[in-house]
Amino acid sequence: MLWLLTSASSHAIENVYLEPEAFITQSFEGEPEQKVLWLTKDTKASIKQVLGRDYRGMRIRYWQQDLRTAWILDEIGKVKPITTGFVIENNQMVAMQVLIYRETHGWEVRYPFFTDQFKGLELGEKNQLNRKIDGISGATLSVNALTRLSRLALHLHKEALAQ
Amino acid sequence: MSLQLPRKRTILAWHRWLGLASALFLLSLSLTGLALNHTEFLKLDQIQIQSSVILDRYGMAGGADIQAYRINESDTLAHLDGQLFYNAAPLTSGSQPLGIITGDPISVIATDTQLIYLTANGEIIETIDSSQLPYSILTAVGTTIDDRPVLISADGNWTSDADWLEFDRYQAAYNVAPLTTVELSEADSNTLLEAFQGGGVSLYRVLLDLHAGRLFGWGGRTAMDLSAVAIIILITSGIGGWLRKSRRPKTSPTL
Repeated sequence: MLWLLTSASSHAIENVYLEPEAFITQSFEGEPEQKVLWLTKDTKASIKQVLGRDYRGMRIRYWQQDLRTAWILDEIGKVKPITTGFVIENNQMVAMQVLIYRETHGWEVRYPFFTDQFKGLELGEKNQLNRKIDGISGATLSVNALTRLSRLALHLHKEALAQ
Repeated sequence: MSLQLPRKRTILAWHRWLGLASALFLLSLSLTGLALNHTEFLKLDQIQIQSSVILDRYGMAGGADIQAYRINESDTLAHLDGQLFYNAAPLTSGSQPLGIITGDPISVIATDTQLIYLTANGEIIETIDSSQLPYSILTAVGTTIDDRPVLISADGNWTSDADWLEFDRYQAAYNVAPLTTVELSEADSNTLLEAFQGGGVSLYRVLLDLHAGRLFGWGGRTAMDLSAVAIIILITSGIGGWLRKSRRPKTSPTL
């Protein structure tokens, strides 16, 4: 059996809301192709502009079927990475879902009242989102992390399709 | 109805012994409090403490805990207290390596919950954690009969493709060789320790933790709590002693 993704670790501090493998399965009709986006110097520079910091790593894996891509990305909210899944088609965000949450505060970002705001988002001028994301009191750092990640996912989608 | 206070001698005895017992703590509380109140003037946050005794209190491990391994022929990979270092330069956080698979173009460091892919120069290509791996906890790294790496876990054994993107279940025989450590030179150990400990701990941090008693853990915090209670009792006994004196009936001078 070929493994693409599988079960999350059973660390006690991790809250696994959806297995990454399940997220990929439910994001596509049929089996998507797993691909890798190698980060060139230019891509890294543009990612820095989007993310506000250097991205550590030289490649990012993603899943693609026709013009739809899915990304599973990590970003630190306060001290721990938040693992989030993004589905993008025609440069528009189709879905955003928090998969694994490891911080002690700010877990409210997993709820649809927050994640639904990301549906239909596009990257506008200067790599900014075309709509404002409403924050959640007490979860500012997590909200900021997910907003940054959504910009990154939209940007990576463009880069991947361009390559 | 008048308040019955203990005898003045009793109050003063309590006051004296409690004052003596808590003097050291109260002195520490006062001096650190004074210093912390003038942090900017004293530049406490700019003074770094590098004493091994203090660093030890903050769990900053010493050089004895460094485990080093050979990677990419002549380079070294070191592990110290949850941090990995490539040629003494910080690489990423991670637990102790279970296996190092040198390859071209990708070398892999396998820990219990992570695979860290590196270039031949030690640059991170990608870090994969257990949420994207076919197992929860890796127990060992072995090699197949045809010398391919095999990842061994309680969930099964796995081999990967050349790009380390996909994993296949592996059920045939394999060998496991223990990961051998290498000795780091003193200069490399010192460089690594410096990278791990940064500039040390700021004096501000140390004084703040001394003030709260946190520097000495649970015992220190309890001692500072008791000191705070001692201040209340000292104030009470001081006022009590004074009241006891002032209530003594004045005797008229005998002529």
